[in-house]
Amino acid sequence: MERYVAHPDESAVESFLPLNPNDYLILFSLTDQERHGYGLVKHIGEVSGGTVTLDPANLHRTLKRMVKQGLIIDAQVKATGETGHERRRYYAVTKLGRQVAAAEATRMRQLTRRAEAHRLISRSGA
Amino acid sequence: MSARRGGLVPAPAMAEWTYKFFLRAYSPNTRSECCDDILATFRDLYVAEVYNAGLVRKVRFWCHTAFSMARDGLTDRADARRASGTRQQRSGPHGSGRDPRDGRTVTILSDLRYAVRTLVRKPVFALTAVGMLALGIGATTTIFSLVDGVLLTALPYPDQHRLMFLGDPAISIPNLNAWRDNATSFDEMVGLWGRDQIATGTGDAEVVPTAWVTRDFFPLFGARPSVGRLLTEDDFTLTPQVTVLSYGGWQRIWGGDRSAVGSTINLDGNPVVIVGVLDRVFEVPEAMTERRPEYWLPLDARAPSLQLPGRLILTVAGRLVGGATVEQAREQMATIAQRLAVEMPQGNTRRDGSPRPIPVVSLLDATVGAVRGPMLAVLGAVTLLLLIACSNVANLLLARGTERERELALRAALGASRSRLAGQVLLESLIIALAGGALGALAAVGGLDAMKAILPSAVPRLDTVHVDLPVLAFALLVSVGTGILFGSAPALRGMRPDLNVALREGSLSATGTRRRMSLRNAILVTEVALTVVLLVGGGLLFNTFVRLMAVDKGFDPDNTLVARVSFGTRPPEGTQKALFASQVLDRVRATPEVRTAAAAVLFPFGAGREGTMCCWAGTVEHPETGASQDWVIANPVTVDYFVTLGAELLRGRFLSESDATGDPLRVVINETLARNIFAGTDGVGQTIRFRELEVMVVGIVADVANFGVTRPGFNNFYLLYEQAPITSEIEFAVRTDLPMSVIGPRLRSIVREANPAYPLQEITTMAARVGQYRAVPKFYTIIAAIFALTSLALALGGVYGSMLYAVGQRTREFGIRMALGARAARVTRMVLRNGLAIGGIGLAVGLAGAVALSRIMESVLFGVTPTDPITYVAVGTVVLGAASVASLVPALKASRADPMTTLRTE
Repeated sequence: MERYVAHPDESAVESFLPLNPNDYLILFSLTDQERHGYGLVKHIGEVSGGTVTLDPANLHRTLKRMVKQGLIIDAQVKATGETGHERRRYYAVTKLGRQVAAAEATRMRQLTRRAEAHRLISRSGA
Repeated sequence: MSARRGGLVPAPAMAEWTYKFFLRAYSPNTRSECCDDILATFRDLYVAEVYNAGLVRKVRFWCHTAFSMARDGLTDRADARRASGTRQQRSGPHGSGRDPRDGRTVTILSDLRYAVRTLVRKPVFALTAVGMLALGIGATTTIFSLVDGVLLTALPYPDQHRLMFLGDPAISIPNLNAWRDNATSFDEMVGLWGRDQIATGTGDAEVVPTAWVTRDFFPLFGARPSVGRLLTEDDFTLTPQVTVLSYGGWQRIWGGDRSAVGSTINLDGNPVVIVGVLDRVFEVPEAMTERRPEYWLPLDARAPSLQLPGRLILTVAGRLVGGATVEQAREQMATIAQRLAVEMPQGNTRRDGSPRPIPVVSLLDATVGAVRGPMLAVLGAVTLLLLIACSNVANLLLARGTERERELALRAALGASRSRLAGQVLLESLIIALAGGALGALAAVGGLDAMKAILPSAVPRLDTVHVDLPVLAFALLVSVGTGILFGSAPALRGMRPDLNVALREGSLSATGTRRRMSLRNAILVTEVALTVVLLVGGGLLFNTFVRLMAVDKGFDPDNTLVARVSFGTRPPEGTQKALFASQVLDRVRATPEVRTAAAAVLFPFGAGREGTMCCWAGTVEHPETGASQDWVIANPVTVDYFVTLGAELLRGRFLSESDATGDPLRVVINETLARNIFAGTDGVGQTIRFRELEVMVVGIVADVANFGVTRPGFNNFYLLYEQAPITSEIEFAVRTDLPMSVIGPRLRSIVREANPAYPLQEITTMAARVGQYRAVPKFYTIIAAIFALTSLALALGGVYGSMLYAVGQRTREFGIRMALGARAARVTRMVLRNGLAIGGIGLAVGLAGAVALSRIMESVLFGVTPTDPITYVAVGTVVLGAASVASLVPALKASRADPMTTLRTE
């Protein structure tokens, strides 16, 4: 699996598709800034309109796997809380991760366009 | 742990501990690598979103967490196994690919196998325990699924936690406008006017429930069309031109035909075009209307001709502005109430002139508030039942623990650690609990259907009740919880087997047994106490039911058919109505086998439906003494009303045809009014004043329970319908020997012949109407009886089994006693005394508990106080009687102990 980190080429990106929805939401949430665990839970909840609530254990299991796959890295550990004694691990998206998320978004856009062409959904998106 | 948070109860720490427990579902790998991160994230999440939330949110959170962790944990373990399998293959057959932690897994697996084998070896014990738990968990899960569906599930509307129900049942249209203009804590406020209308143009004329709603009603509740469209701005004209069909109505009336959209129908003679059908999933806000409207019409609340402050017809819901609290809204509505009482007194003041308050409650509370108390009481009762089942199983396990002591001691002597022995015992309990839980969950699926069948129709939101994932998660939690609860005592025992004593040959240590006996006796006492609480509750409800049945209703409900005719929202002239009624009655009476028939604005148990004018009320005064009564209900009736009902004449005479022309108006009054106005003197022949009318009393009848038996004491008088054909509805009653299936259609065709525009509805028997009023108490009585009797049987079984076991253990002691000269009767007495002591102490504790809990019962009782002495005495007798019966067989067995056998083995 390490080869994905070393050579992020097109076929490596393709091999991740279609991306698991939770993986996509995590990558998407990390595109604008680094986030810690609860930051991700909260942001994903907002982005998905409350339909996706990630359980902390499952989230970190997924994060661990995504780190191994080279999609994200655990960027740093920061102190938080009133006293600064609490430590939180922050995650950031890698170049590969960004490419995979973009490829997934493109794939979904194509699906959406086909659905529109078949009049499954209207063009306004309602 | 988050010890940094202050406070008496470190709730997040508790939560974290629980979460850590659930985390065990995941593979050791994941746990060791991510535990800190996971717990930190959980802490953030819990403190930010759950810690300060309400109970409902907490329960949902934990159910969701338990379920998703069990699911994802299994996936994780499967992944880990696959990964380690790959690793093993890679390291070859000789490599030590085994994870060091696997040793523990092997231990657990072997313990598991051992536990299952132990249980299978004792099938009677295992089946009894599993059966009892299945009963308890099944009953608890059934009731919990009800509570979950009705009380805990959020209403299916957007921003439902911001939706409020406003006002005392109904308000006027000008009030809604005034509220909307002034209440800034609401960003939306909508009204609904529920009514019955006559629909024509789709076959026979029929009465259909309709709802007139203001502009933002559908958007507020997130309604969508299934076919066509919903209401738009242009639809809100003074006389509605369009209507939206409910999904149910579309199916019932049109058979789901799409051509319904675009058709025209007549509602009360007004043509309206059907423009759309509501989505099937749309749930009518039950707080706003009890009925299921079939046609939805636009109501323009700003229309000048509708600004009638005296017509209290609307129910109102509003959505709080984001960030506003219920308290703020309440304060603001209180201020508005004050101002409206001055500006628009009609409909906004109470009879004493004070402002009519505007209650603000959440829509969920308004929907389910009435059933919350009773439902939680039932949930409490079923929890007691579960506890009894648990204590029975605990007792069984303890008794078995005695037998197993030698086995455990042997294993301890051979080097088994204490925690492993305790774990072994606990594992057995968990297996029993999970088996019981699985059976119980299955039973709950069946039990719920049975429960829905006997539930009174008044219970809201029954559509949302089913056995779903949260309910199953609940059953799982309860099973694990009960397993730990009843398994912990035997497990603790398993931790410290007394090797010396237990291993000595043939030893049945007196001291060890006594210690164990006292623990088991304590459990039995608890069990009896819990049973007493349930029996008292059941007894009180049974008493209530008997009293409800025995109340003198003042009429004979048998062999009587009742039905209602609606004249629609544009009723004809009064004389037309009277003529119609007499035409119908003449033809009905012409039918052979009809004894009598009558019409009236109100027959007993028919009033109180929302949206119908139940009665004509006013103040009655005695012109000479000045005695007066408010809220006297006038009931216009035809001549045979009293005979048809079987009402009892106390003094004077009934109304007759000749009274139609009498001046002043002739009336018959009921006993309550006679007592209140004439205070002991004979009222017959006297004249009293009703509103502006002079009326003369010609007779006094016994009270008729018009509004149900729990609301007696209404002031009533009766006058001839011809003189006051007031309401838009009239009821007919027919006393006959014909079966309802014959007389019902007959009456329908007679009414159709008399005037096809007036449909006959709600054809039923008087007995059924009375029965409906009893449905709720009957339901509670059935439930309580089931719980009380089940728990009595469980407790009895517990006492019996335990005594029998104790006697078995002490056979040697009894043998020695009798060898030393004790008489058989004395031994019998000894055992009986033991049983009665358990029963007696349990009874005392239980009665105290029942008194403490009796307040919960208050709302569902009728005619008995929650501390009714007769019930308590009866329960005491039953429990002591049962305790002696349960210990009699063991006592007799003890007295038959053979001294010779004992001495020979000693």
